This record gives sequence, C-alpha cells and structure tokens, in this order.
Amino acid sequence: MRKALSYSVQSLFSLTLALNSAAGIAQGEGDPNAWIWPNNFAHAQLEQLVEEGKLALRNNEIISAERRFSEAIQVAKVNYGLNSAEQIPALELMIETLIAQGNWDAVDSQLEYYGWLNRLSQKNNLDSYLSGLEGMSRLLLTASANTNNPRSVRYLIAAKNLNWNAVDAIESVLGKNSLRLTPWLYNIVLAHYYQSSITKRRGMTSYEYKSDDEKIVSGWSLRKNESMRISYSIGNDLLERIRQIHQNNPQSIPETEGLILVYLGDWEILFGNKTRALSFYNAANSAFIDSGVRQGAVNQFFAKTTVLPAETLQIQFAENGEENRLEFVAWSPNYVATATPTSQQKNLIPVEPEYNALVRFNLDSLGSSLRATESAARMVIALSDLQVISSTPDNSFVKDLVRNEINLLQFRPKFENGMPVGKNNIEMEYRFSPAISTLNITQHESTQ
Amino acid sequence: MNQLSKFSSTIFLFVAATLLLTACAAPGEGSSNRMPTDAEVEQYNASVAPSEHIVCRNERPVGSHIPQRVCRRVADMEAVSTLQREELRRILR
Repeated sequence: MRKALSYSVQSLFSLTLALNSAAGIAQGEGDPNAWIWPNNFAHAQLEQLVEEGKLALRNNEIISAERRFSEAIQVAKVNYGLNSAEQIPALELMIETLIAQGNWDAVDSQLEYYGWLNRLSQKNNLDSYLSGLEGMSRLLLTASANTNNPRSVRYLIAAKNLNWNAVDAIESVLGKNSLRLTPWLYNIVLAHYYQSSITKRRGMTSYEYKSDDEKIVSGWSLRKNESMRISYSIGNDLLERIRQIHQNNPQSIPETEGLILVYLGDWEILFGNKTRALSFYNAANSAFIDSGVRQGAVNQFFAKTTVLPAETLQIQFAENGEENRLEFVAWSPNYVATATPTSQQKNLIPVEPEYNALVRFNLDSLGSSLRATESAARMVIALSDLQVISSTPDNSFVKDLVRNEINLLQFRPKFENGMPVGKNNIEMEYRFSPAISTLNITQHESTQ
Repeated sequence: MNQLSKFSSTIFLFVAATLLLTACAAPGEGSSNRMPTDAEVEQYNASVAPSEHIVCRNERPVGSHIPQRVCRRVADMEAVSTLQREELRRILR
C-alpha cells in the first residue's frame, strides 16, 4: 500500500516536471530564464504587455503581438473583473492583429465579445458606451476594407448598424435634437455612399451585398435601382435631419445652415442629380451671406477642390485657402476611388497604399443661377485634360489605372458669387492600391 | 373673346391638375398610419434580431398604377413563401 502511494507521488512529481518542461518549451526559446510563469495578478503588467504588443506590431511580429494582447486581456480580467472595461484597449488591438491575419472567425467571435462587454459594462455611461461603439465601428470598417475578406460588405453594414445603435442611445438619453447626433448620422450617410459605390459595380447586386442576414430570404431581393434609391433617400433624410437638429438648437452657429446645404448639394452630385445640387449650392451661398459671411469668404470656401463625399461634416465655417497640391489617399480596392475614412487613421496597423501618381486636370463647371430662371437651371461638371505627370512604379499599366480611378472621382464644383465656374490645372497626388483581380488580369495578359 | 377662352382654358387646366393631384395623393399621408421612411426602417432593423427585420418597398397593387408603400416583417415573408412552396409541392404531387 505504502509502495503504491510512493509510486503515485513519484508519478505525480514526474508529471509536474514534464508539464513544467513542456511549458518551458512552449514559452519558447529554450532559455531557462524564460521559465517565468505569467503573473496575472500584477496589474502593472497590463500596460507593459500592451506596450510590448505594440512594439511587436511595429516590428511586424503579428503573432507575437496577438499573444501579448491576449495575455493583457487575461490580466485585466483577473485584476478588474470579467466584465471590466479595462480589457477594451487590449481587445481592440488584438482584433486589429486578427484582421491583419485574415482570421475572420476569430475576428467575428472577438467582436461579438467586445459588443457584449460594451453593452454590459458601459451601458450606464453614455460616453464610454459611445466610445466602445466607435472602436467597434472602426474595426468593422477596417475589416470591410481588407481585400482578403470574402464578406466585406457584411462588415460595412454591421459598422453602419453600430452607428444606428449610437443614435438610439443618444436619442434615449439626450433627446432627438441633441447636437451629439450629428457625427453619427453623418457616418451613416458615408456608409450609404460606400454601399452604393459597391452596388453600382457590375455583378454586385446579389442579396448578400445588401443585407447582414445569415441566409437569403426567399421572395425578397432589392433590385440595383431600388438599393440605390434607398441609399440616396436615407442619406438625404439624414442630412435634412442634421439640418433640423441645428435649426432647432439655440447653441447652433448661424453659418451651419449654409454648410449643411453644401453637404446636401454634395449628396445630389454623388447620385447624379446636378440640377438639384445647383439649387442647394445656390441656397448655401444665400444662407452664408444671410448669416453675415462676406461674399469673398464664401468664394474662397468654394474655391477649394473637394473630393466627394467630404470625410467629415464641418459645422463651423472656415475660410479655405487655395491649395497648391491636393493629396488623396484611396481607402481600399474594395471601395474604388473612395477616400480613407478619418477613423482609419487611428489604426495601429496602417495599410499604406502601394502606388502613387501625380496628376493634373481641369474641372469644367457650367451652369446658371437658379435666381434667374429656375426651370432653365442646369449644371455640368466635367473633368478634362487629365494628365498623369508621374507615377510610381513608372509604367503604362499604373498610369491607366490612375486615369480610370481619377475619372470615377466626384468633385464639389467651384462657385463664384453663386455661379459655378471652372478650375484649371488642379494638381493631385493620388495614392492607391490596385485590386488583386486587376493585377491578375494584367499578369495574365502580359504572359500571353 | 379670345382672352376669355384663354382664361377659361387656364381655369380648366388648374381644376384638372388639382383633381389629378388629389387622386394621386398617397393614402394615409399625414395620418397616424404613415408608413416608416427608409431611414426609420433602417434604424429599427439595426436594433433588432434579423428575424424581426422589416422591409418596406413601393408596390403597385393590381388594378392601379399608383404605387403604395408596403412594409412587411421578413419572418412573415419567409413563412408565407414556405407555405406557398409547400402548397405548390402538394398540388403538383
């Protein structure tokens, strides 16, 4: 009996030793100093682990970074509680590393956890809750822009839904006329533009590009025109809503009315309604003058070349100077000729465009003032004399791609005294990454 | 006389246009039965499970060219489609 007991103790001891060795090997490097068990109770370790993970990311060691962030989450759970908000910074970074690896199942599961955590831990604090929604929305847009993501549009729709959730939360706490609704409503407008840019592309009209549902609902699928009409209508409604919020709010600045009319005009241009756009731009000009802005300053505002849609909604009037050279960073081949959203600049793993080119072109804008003859009002905006001055890499394939993409861009026309006028010799530095499919076709053609 | 005829034809056109516009007015507009806008539908759908989503579209009812906005629950549409498929299968068997 005693012998048997001694045998069991010996076995347990050897098992422990074996496990320790395995752990040592698993921790890697084979160095005896590396046999340090993580101390999940040292909360100072949380910051250290996050910093180590960030360093690993900068060195492009994504797997190692993911492990550090995962450990940081465990430390936060042990020290601050399972539902603690302290895990969120490390969790966001970990999801970024998972997106970079294209591990979509893990991304989905971690985002679901993030959503649960945000609802549970932050619902009583509006600012923290909104900050969580902003973080998730940024990650979803990053996932949607990833060219290796087979379900890119679902992430876009999920990001848009989070913005709606933020609108719900603000409405229920601060009311339906809160100025804080403005950026969230504008994000939804932008999401609709991104969605419509996909719907416009050939072959992108199937159900899965218009819904976040798991399965196809029989008997219902939006036609391309219907889908575009809905996006246009929602964008228009939301911009009108932003306008009403500012009209009803005593804290609002008088020039904001003019600015929102400009955005309404921009929205019409994006959907090809140039005459209606002219009407909004004319109304904006009058609204600026009525709010006390000098005509010269209004002309300066419209002199700036703006690629549409504007990335952020400006609610304070600022005089624009004439730019020497415009810079445009295209977001992703998934959303051709679309500017990188401002939220993506917060990403720790920036996706740098591979190609760049310097182009020069003219913007011809012709039109008549609505004040003269409303029925005869027409506006034409056209891009002409497009020249690709230089490109990196310097070859005809890149130059052709640049020409195609620049022709897809939409611009706010230049106005002088309420009348559209042309603008010559606009220089733009265009940075972009081509779609993999485009590269494959070119390689295939060059081998033939 | 010529002026009188021009005036009466203007009046006639005005009355005809008013009648036409009244006929085309969407039913229930301004009343409490107003159908939700696309933005309202999207806001609602963002806060509920996919099975609870609603879809609204403009449909032309049989016998009329005037489109009406109709909203349905996705789950109801799915249930009706399934029922119709089963009925069809039963009849064709």
